[in-house]
Amino acid sequence: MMRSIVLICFGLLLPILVAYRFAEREPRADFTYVNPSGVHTLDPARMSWTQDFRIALNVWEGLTSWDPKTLAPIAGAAYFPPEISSDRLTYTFRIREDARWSNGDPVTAADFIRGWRRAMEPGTAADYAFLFTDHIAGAEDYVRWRQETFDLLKSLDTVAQAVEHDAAFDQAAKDAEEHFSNVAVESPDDRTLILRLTRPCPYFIDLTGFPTLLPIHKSIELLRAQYRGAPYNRLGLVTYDPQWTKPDYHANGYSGLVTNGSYRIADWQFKRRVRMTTNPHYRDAARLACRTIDMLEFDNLSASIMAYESGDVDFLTDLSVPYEHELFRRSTNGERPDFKSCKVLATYFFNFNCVDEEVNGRVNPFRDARVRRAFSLTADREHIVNNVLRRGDRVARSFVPHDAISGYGPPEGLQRNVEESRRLLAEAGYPNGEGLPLINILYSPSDEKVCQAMARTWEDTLNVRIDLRALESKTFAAEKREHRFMIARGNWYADYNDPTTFLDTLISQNGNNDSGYSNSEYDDRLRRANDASADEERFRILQDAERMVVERDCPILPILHRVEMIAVKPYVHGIIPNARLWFPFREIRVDR
Amino acid sequence: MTRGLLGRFGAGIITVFFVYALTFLMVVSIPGNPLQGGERKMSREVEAALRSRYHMDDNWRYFADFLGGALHADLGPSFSYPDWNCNQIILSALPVSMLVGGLAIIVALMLGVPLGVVSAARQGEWTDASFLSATLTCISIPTFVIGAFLLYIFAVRLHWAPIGGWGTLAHLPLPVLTLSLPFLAYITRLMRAGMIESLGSDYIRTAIAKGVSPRVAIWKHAFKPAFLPVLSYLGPATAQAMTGSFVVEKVFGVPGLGQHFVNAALNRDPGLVLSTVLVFSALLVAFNIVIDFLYTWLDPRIIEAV
Amino acid sequence: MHQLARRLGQWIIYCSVGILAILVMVSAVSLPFSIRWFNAQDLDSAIRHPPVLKPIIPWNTYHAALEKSGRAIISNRESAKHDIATVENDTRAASTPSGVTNFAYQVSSWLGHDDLGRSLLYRLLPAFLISFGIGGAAAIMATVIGTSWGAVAALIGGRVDQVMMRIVDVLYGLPYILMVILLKTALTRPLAGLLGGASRLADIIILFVAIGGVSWLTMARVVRGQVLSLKTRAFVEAARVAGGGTLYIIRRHLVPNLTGLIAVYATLVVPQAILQESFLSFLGIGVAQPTPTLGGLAADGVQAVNSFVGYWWLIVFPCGVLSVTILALQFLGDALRQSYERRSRGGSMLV
Repeated sequence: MMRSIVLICFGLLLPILVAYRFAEREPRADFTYVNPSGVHTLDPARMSWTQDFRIALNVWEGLTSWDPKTLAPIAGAAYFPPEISSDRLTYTFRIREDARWSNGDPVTAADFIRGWRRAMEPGTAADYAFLFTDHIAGAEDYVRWRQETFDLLKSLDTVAQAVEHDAAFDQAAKDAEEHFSNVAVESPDDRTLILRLTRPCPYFIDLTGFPTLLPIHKSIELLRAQYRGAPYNRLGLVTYDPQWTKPDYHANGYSGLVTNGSYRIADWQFKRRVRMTTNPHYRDAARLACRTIDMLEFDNLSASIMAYESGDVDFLTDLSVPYEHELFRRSTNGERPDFKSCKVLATYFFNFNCVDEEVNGRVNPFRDARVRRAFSLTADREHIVNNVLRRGDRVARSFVPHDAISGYGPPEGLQRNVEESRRLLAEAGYPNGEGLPLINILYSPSDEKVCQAMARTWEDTLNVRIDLRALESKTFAAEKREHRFMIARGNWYADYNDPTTFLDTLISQNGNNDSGYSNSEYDDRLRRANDASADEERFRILQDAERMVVERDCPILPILHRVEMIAVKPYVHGIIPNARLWFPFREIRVDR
Repeated sequence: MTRGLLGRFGAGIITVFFVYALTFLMVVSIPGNPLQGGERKMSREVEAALRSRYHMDDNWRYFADFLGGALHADLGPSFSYPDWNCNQIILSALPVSMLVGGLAIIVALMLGVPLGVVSAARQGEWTDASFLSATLTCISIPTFVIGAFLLYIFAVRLHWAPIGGWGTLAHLPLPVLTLSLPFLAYITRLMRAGMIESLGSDYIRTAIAKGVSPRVAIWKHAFKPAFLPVLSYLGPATAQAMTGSFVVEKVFGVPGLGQHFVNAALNRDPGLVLSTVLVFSALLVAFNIVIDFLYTWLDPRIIEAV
Repeated sequence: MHQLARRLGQWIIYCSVGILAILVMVSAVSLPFSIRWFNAQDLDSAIRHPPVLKPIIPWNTYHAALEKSGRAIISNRESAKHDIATVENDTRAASTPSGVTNFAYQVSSWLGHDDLGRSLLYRLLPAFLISFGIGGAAAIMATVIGTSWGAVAALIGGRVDQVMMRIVDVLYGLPYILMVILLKTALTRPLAGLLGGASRLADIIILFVAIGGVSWLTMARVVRGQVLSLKTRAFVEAARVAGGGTLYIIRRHLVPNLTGLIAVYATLVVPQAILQESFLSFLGIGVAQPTPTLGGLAADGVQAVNSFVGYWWLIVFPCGVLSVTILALQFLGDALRQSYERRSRGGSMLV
């Protein structure tokens, strides 16, 4: 009996072990790095995570690119600089003759228009579709029309109204091209792309390097959904087979993902790794030092650091482990020069709930700007940065980071002033904190240290009682969206190099306005800034608006600007720490 | 007997259906939006488009669509990994988990059964006490501590095992060992208890009195009835081990299925939650049927009961 | 030899009970003290200390060596432009919070501090109580639901029994961890609303409800089996023939015969629940920080030993307490089971 069990076990065991023994071991890539949270998507239109952007910008190439040192726009697939009309509205890009897709096809203006149109379509559900509707003339109308047809078709999508539905569908399919022709993006020839903006935008050139504006190869059309002979799905949405980002997907004559960047995706194994190899048709293909690049996926940050220490990995893009302060210490005292800090364009802050009268059945005192200001005046940011986190973050008194955007000087912000804050609190009707309800702070577990320290400071100085609520991320997001908080942690990463990437989030109707701050004066200033002709004037208006927010109304309380650490082996050259965590692989050289 | 098995199979399918329905109910009722989550919120229009794309507006339709798809071996899209569908996710993760889990069960069986027999034969002696304490210690320390400890010793300090990655033989021993420990402990205790009872039964006493050597009595006569409880434990245990353990996967970076149970629930990815649950309950039912079959084969008396 | 081993077994049980009793007592008695410290010494005042202090246990023989390595760390820190005080000992003397006796401060460093300067001892004591409470509450929940479910199914029998047991089968078919997560997220909002401000308490309640809510299945099966077998026993038949009503039979025969079994299984649920809590903490969805639990401390501790930091005490002590607790509970459960089995066998012989 026991013997038969042993036999069965070995019978099962042996073939497995033999199979694994003879499994082919791939040679190591020239350069290996780790993306701790993995790849979310490789569809440029749907991306919103830095790690996805990084891959996209290495395998595709936009009209412009960013210099890894200065982050200034440089030439991409188009010559730089583009021709800009004197009213600063019309941009003419000339695409390079030697810009090639990874299958050898030339990159054309039509490829860009295809990518942009796709990103605008409601069916794609691009997070950054607003980049088009905000800036490109006619885009907003087109998207609105598409949305209307979608709503109409959706309401007609019942058995009883099948005939009306099909009629409406055919009409919409027929009108689509005409409506799109009103969007001010055109290509007089294959290598010229002309676009017109709704209003002058000083940072538009910077945006043209953004992943949402990447071109898409024409082969994607093979995977487009069809209904009644038109390239739309039943609800009139433009959708594609989501598998199109795979290099080895071959449905309906599709020959796998084609890209135009310095690298192409050679292999993507789910939750394991992405292998990139040089794009043979890239103009500088011969100059690329790394022929193969592996991006590994480690769920466990500590393990990725161990792998780095053992030499299996050459580069880590994220070191946010609980002992990060120790890594930072070793990096600053010279012990580990391979740990480097990047001052990212990001602000970590607290939202005060400015709208609701009641939160969880308790009166919300933060509707009163004086209370918000009082809480802001007591914040001890130096303590948090120097004693609690100890990883070299910069103290933030303004929403927009200092010295980050050339030409823009954010306001000074509030200095800590306990007396003034007690006075304000008394003025608001809460002398010495009496009468204030239990204040709740909402955050996700990774903010533990900061939130505890903040709560402690407030409890000590303002004599309030504070209830800390840590929630896992989805519940946190839901509670925040439904305004079930008094104070909630916020975190904002800049999308482009302009103060408005931060300041827009406080406009009344903005979807990312978590505090619910609504002030027509503020909205009006931001609108005026948009219309301002000169940069100086624009920045001055924006600065006034920001001063209003961080010094007077205080819907948010900026705490710090994050410093993110990366680890680069000394034998790897060409990785320059920068604010966008943008590391072009074409610059990397490995001398082992 | 075939009728008995067919009945079991039918009951199993009904169970799987109810498991699916219950999970669906829970997924629909928990707070949190699968499409919203990061710091940046998507606009209402974008969300509406996505909802219609994934048929999320109508719960009943989603319920039926998913079930219909599952019957055609199509588990539909995943929200948290838009470029992949649930079939691909399960197919990439399940073989890994089955390999690690299967090996862990084999290791647990090969070590646990002899340990249990020996401690039963030496009941009340030092061997027994030390085996008992050893197995109890195995389950008294959380797996993530044991796993991290093993990883630190064998991978970081001794460089015997790789850190992270997957695909070679060297990646197997540590996760398999860590995963097998709780099963090992339980099998040892089941085997010991069964063996003690079986050794105390009349026919074994008679056999020994008639001059059968203790070794033969233990391994030949007492073993079979004592093994039956272990066998019935193996069904759920194998299903559990083969669908992966989040902790082991997280500690050793194994690209298995266990992480998806947790992440799908945390990401509110209904398609992936339902897929993983379906796989788990189908495996559970399948293994229980296999075990029942083995049971009747080992102990024909059961047939009458069935 | 046998005698010796048996006596050893008895000693182990005495020790288990003793250790558990001591732990419960120490943590309960010290609770006002540790909570006060835990609150007052939280971050803000604690952070003024050098970030990590090694345990200062009188009997710690490698203390000297550790002290030396500690100095090295601290002096590096100085060069790292951090305004942290000079040598460890000076700092400790200088930064002792006023109003706290020196002795209390020494006690706080027996097991060392974490990287925010919080005393591990003062976190460990309430942690034990909270974990033990979660385990106990989950066991009580599992017992109440499981016993009533199993007993009702067995007593009513027939179709009801089949449906009820089918439900248990279905629940068995759900992955445990998934169910805990779904239950926990589903309960978060309603309970937080119900309890208003006490969100830390709500957190603990949610956790034991979630764990208890999935641990009752085995109990239901076991109780049902036992009741079914009791129903056919001669003494129950006899009581029925003698005209005893259902309530009488339940009170006189079923309840006394079930208590032992229930006690055994309930004891075994406690360590299970404590371990489950530690897994949830590892996943980051256990009881939210700063409320300490044994599993949470152990999960944090795992991150504290690697090539860069070697705060071994942060893993050794929480893990030690955790495994001693679980071992003691396991031994206790086993001993209860053995004595129960012996007794019930004797009982059946008498009948």
